[in-house]
Amino acid sequence: MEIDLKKPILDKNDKLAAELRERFAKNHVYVVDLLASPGSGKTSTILATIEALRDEFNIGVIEGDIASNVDAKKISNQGIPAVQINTGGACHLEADMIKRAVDVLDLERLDLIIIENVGNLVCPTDFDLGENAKIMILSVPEGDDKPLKYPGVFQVSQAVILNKTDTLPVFNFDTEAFEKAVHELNPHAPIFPIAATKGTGVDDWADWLAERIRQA
Amino acid sequence: MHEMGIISGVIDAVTASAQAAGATKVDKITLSIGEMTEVIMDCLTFAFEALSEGTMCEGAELKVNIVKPHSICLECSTEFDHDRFHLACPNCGSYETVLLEGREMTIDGIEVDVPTEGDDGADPSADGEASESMPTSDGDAAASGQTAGRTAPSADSPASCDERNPAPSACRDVPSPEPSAEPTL
Repeated sequence: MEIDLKKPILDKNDKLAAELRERFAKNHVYVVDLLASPGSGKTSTILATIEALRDEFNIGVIEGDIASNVDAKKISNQGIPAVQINTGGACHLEADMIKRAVDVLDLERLDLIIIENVGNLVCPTDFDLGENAKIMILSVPEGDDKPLKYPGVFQVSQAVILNKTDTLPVFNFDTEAFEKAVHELNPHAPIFPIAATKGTGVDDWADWLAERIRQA
Repeated sequence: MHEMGIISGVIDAVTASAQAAGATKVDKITLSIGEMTEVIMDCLTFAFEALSEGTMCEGAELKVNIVKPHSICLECSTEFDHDRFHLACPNCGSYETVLLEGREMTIDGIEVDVPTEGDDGADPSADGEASESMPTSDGDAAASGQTAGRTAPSADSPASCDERNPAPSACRDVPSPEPSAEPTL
């Protein structure tokens, strides 16, 4: 017997993500899903973003890692509520993990939630977490050819942060080629060159984000 | 290696539908996967073999239709096929394009064994009515595998190797246990 299903494979995740999106909108919380490789400076970028925006907005952070709570501790040391999700081996976050983390946060009080996804340029791109925007971070030492190798993550991102620009003098990174490749995959995504640990360029990125948080 | 998560979703959904239809076994599962997703076919097959063991999907054929990317240009309205990397309009060169097809992840349909009344499915070809519970002929299978639009059915093998990433080494990870969410503040 044949049964016609025509059912999205990620139906369960997508429905849960839609519920979360509704909940975020109701509470006027803007949610960012940060995608990047391990070691690209996700946590440093989050810390720099917090520093730039904390006077105006209440911020919460959800940290996704395979193991440990190292990152969440770094955030909570800054007096920012942080929830650690340990995926225990899984290479990406899913909506049900976010739901559990969100249940711990005081949504009514928050304006911005930054989700630090598991360090991976592939798997997280396929999963809706109910976020307002996926943002991609690439760091200079990873190389300017990454848009050619991992087009998916550049396509789904609403903005691209190029981190560790202070290392440009020592790496053979062609900024122009990188910008062209990103533009060809995603013509509307702005690129923000920053050096998160030095604070360089963070203001432009923070202004772009602040504008969106105010509209949430 | 999110193919484990994807396949466990497939098995859950298929099992629920098959049970609702009174089936005892799933013979075939047809999926449509867009080329613009990050799904690797080898990993999908590997995950299916590993996770279907002991379920009613064990031994079922997994047919995967690869959906080629297809976009429309917002400048000149040309519709065109392309690959994962070259999204510019072939007519006017614009990058202002919108993907119409190519990000699908869908369970199109399944074929199941439903035991007939008083027969327990022992010999489903015994009467005309029961013949429906037999795995369909090649012709029927091909028809059920087609989806609207520009679906390009894969080869007859259960799931063809994805050319863009043939390395099966990506299939090393294991499905996660229950993730934990702990507040640290």
